[in-house]
Amino acid sequence: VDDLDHDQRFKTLIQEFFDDFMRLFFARWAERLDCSSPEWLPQEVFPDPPEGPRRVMDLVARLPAREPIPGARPTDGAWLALVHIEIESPDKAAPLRGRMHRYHVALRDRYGLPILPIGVFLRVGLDGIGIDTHLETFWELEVVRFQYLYVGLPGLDGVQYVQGDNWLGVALAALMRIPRERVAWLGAEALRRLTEAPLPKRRQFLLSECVQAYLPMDDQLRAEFEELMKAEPYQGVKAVNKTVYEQGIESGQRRMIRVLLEDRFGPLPKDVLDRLDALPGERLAPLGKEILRANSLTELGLADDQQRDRP
Amino acid sequence: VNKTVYELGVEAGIRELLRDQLADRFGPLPPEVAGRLEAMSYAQLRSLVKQVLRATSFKDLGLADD
Repeated sequence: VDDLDHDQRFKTLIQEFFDDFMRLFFARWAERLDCSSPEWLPQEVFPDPPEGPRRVMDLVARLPAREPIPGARPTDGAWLALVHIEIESPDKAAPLRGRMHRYHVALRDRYGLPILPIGVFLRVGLDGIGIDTHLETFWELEVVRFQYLYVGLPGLDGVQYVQGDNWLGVALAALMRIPRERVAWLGAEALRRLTEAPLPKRRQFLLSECVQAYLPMDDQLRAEFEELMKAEPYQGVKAVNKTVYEQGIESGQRRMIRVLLEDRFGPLPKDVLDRLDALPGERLAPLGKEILRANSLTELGLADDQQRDRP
Repeated sequence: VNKTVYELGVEAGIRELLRDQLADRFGPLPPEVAGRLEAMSYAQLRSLVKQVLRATSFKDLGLADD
């Protein structure tokens, strides 16, 4: 499906659960850094020649270290550092390596602080959690050897994480390795645990939405999942969560109605698009039928005057 | 297993919209037509949406043989 913004969903999750994220995957580093209230720097834009003129870094946090950082100098008595996180949704690791290095150099030049680089792979497992390397050589000479920490979610055991005590880990289990026969159970169990978790509603929502958005499904697994959600331990769960499936239905219909309207009436002015976006979900299916007979956007209630309509 | 719940929802939403439109234009969907619609991918569904306006029959849309 074309316009899913996996990166944006993850940026929000990591910002909201940064401390959990660090403790879950990079515990040794979490002990050295104070991850409780990072300062998120404005989106950094840097030139990135191989992939286009400019690119935006995903996340850059400035935070104090809990202990002196060798080779660095304290700022106003604090040992400050940056944590740079890139989220990679394509199913290849290679494109990220060079980018991590280029961004690292740009950040170091701009801020002059020690930087912990982290890559998050949504569709590449590698060794689960580890250190990846970007190498640049000139014949036998190793000109650049750059390393960054990574987590490759599909390389981790989803069944183990869904039963763990880190709530972010429970949600991210949906992106990890799951035996097919346990997918429906894992989804139901993750939602049950998150619904019962002692978390503010907003945090519960973000985590539950992540489970529903990323749990790998086909029609058979979805039917299994729906059946399981009717069982005793999960009955209360469904009522709490507006499902991502329902959001998908609405998004698919809104998208296709726009395609139909543009096909009939040409490019849509912004105010028409705004009206379309503001329509409630239950209005979409009837509108889909009305488009077949309507002669104008006005007839459909999407424009105020005939001047905007095209015969 | 390669679709998320959201992606399944998007496809289901488009199918629902198409079923309504086709029934509105050509009458109740025969099982054969409904079956073909059910088996279509996201890309096929998206392309079908554009054809519905101009088609005059299920056959025009590749949803029936005769």
